[in-house]
Amino acid sequence: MVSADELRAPTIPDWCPGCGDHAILMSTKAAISELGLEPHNVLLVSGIGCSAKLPHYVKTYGFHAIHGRALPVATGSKLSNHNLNVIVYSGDGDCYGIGMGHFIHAVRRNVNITLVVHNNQIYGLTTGQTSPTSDLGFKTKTTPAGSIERSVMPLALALSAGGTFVSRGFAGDPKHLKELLKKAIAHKGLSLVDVLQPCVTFNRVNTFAWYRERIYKLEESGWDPTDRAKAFEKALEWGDKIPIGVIFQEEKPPFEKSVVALEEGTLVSQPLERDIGPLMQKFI
Amino acid sequence: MASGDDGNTVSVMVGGEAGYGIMTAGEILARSFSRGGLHVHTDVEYPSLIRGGHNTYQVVASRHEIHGILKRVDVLIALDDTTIREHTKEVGPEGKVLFDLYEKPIDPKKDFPSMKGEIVPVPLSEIVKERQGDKVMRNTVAIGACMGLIDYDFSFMEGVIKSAFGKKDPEIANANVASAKAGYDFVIDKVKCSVKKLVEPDRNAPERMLLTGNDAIALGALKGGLRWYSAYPMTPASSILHFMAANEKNMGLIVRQTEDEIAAATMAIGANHAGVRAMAATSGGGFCLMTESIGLAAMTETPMVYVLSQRPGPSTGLATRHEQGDLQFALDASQGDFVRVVLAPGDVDEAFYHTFKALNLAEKYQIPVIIMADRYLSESFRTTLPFDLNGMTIDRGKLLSEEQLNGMKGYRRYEDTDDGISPRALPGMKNGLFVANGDDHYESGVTNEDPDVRMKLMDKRFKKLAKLIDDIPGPILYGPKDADATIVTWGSTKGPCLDAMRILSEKGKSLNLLHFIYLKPFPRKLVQEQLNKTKLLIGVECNRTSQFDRLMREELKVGVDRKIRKYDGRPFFVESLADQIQEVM
Repeated sequence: MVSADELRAPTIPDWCPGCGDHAILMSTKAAISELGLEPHNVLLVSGIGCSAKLPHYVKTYGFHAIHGRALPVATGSKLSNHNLNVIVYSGDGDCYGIGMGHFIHAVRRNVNITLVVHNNQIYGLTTGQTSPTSDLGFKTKTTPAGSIERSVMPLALALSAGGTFVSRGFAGDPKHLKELLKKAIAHKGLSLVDVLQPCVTFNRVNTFAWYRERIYKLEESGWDPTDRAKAFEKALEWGDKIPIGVIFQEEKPPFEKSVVALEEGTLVSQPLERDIGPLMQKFI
Repeated sequence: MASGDDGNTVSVMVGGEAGYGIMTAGEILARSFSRGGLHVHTDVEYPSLIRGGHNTYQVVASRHEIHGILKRVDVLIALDDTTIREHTKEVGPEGKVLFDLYEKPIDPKKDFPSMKGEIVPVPLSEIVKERQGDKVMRNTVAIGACMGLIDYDFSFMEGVIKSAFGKKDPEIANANVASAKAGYDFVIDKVKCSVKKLVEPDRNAPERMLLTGNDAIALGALKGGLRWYSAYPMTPASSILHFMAANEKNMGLIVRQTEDEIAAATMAIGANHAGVRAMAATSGGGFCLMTESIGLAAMTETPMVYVLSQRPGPSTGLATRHEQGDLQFALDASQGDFVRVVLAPGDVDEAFYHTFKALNLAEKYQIPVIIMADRYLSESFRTTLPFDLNGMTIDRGKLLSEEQLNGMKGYRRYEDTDDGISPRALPGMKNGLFVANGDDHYESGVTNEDPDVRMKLMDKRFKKLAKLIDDIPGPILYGPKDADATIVTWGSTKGPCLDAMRILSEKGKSLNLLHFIYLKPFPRKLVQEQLNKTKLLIGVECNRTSQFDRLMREELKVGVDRKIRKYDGRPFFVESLADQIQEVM
């Protein structure tokens, strides 16, 4: 087993001091370590934004791609070598804005990938613009009079798309987050972990204290995460009370179980040479 | 007799509404000629709709090799009267129009006064009704009748129908053969005076394949070890997706129809990153969406192969028609400077061999490669000998094995080597950990902001060019080494140019043809010598702004002397192209 400390890459994180991303990084390393995953069998994929820097800070394989496209890149890699543990790090802009199309389709496809969304309800790296998860009335550089668009409800969207693991974590509770990540990584199928991750520089509303006042743990409230309809109701709970933990989970065969080509083993282990003679014959 | 006709070539066109079985009829006709040892070239024209409209399938078959489509039509199979009205000009006095008179009574002289060809009524609907067949089977009766009309041995069509339907259901096959035979017999028995032998089968000819450019691209990719194919449906690239999906199981492939072209391309990049050979195909609009991913492949040095099958733009343009208008776009698509290969096969053979080569080039140089096809190449069937697979070797370049990696210390994914190509590890290999990075980076893959490192890594990526240029074949010269005029062309326009050149050579014109497959990097050295010998350069291409000529001027400081352009959404017809070339010589 590789310890969390041994997973630390030489690159020093350049996130703001106090940023919630540090907790996600810490929980990630701890989860990988405690699950006993081998670093060379872990691939961390990211898009663009503060969240996307995470793969550089963990000693595993990584792919720092382009804005919004982490999920399709990860899907291609995972299906080509399904022995890899693939974890995607995205943000509320990356995943629920520019990458929203891929998000819905990745959820319904149910490839065995873990999707961690650093959700801080603001665009941080581009210095503070409104985000798809910004609350109504939220003031930013691009919404000086307050946002007039309703925010998206990512957990409800995932549930409606047939998600098999839908959860929410909080960067202010790394221990809880670590356990959540472990469950998500162990889940066979696409597991969504939407993480409330305060941006300490640009979001002065949704702060650690703001979240702390509102969150409560589903595990402690005797929540049964097996009923999709009830989970849908729970996923819409946002305001004075915000639930964290696993909202819904069900066992369904992941996408790769239905792919005929993978019955022979991983795609990457299959030979490149093949006989196309019989195919050519069909054209005669 | 129309130019290009040597008495051994026949041109048949089937026309009617979508839903009339035009494509099936055309393909059976094409295969019947191909099985008879003839060279075949087809062309389809159809609007973007599912039912109705005006659709045609043209089949040219000949005893000698042909590369393009003729304007002339010898037998027009009109399943509706629009077909006669639209194609009156193409049918000469010797031509025949096969028409279902019983469907809608017409008076040929009154209804189609300018039609020079003879209208031959065949009661297609009646024959179908007698046989208690479905109305759509008029198409089968009609192509059978066509065989009678040109006195072509019916046994070839019988064989084609049997192998097309036989596997599904022998009863359906027999019913179709009988319908075609009924059409054939009707013509032989009742309209004997019209029968004219236009082309003889060549019983000594070798067995040939009949396939489209898209089929050839798919076969080339499969021969090249492709294991992943992702795409979003878009004409004229869709048939690659259909072919791949049909062969997903027996070829051990993963084929994904994705939510959009962005996902198609980026998933394929993810697959390539994991060490699987992957490709994505589309047309212009989808290629716009894939554009950002090209730069991602370049910056992360991930091998990637794109197929861009062009149709007329801008925007949706003519969704089901032909043009070569995306060259300048493909040459520089995506932000920033990087090394790429752009190539454009001219026919099915080039499509096969150069798709195979594209997969090798992408992996060997760890770069994006763009294969440019177009509607004419992608969807036209052409006969060719089974591909010679000898000497086709998969080259994975500097891909490391786990053993090699274990022997290395301090592995750096983007190591600055002499040729600019860095040894490549794959996720899952011990001792090779790295982050593939779309941000510019150090040799390790770690994000970089230092100006000197930026220059060094940019130059490292460009070092690949020196070796790559030696791997790029030059243009192909057809015809005599020295000639009064040289036709310069690229991609599928080669076909009509070759046939036009043959017509003009027979008339005593001194002409040769320089055909470019590789467009970027431009094979500058290889072309210079030939151009020095050339007296008059005639550029032929299917776009409004002579995009290849612009590329030549940029690379060679000289362009063509005469321009022949076509941008009406249709490919060049051989006879009219020959006339145009003669005019500018």
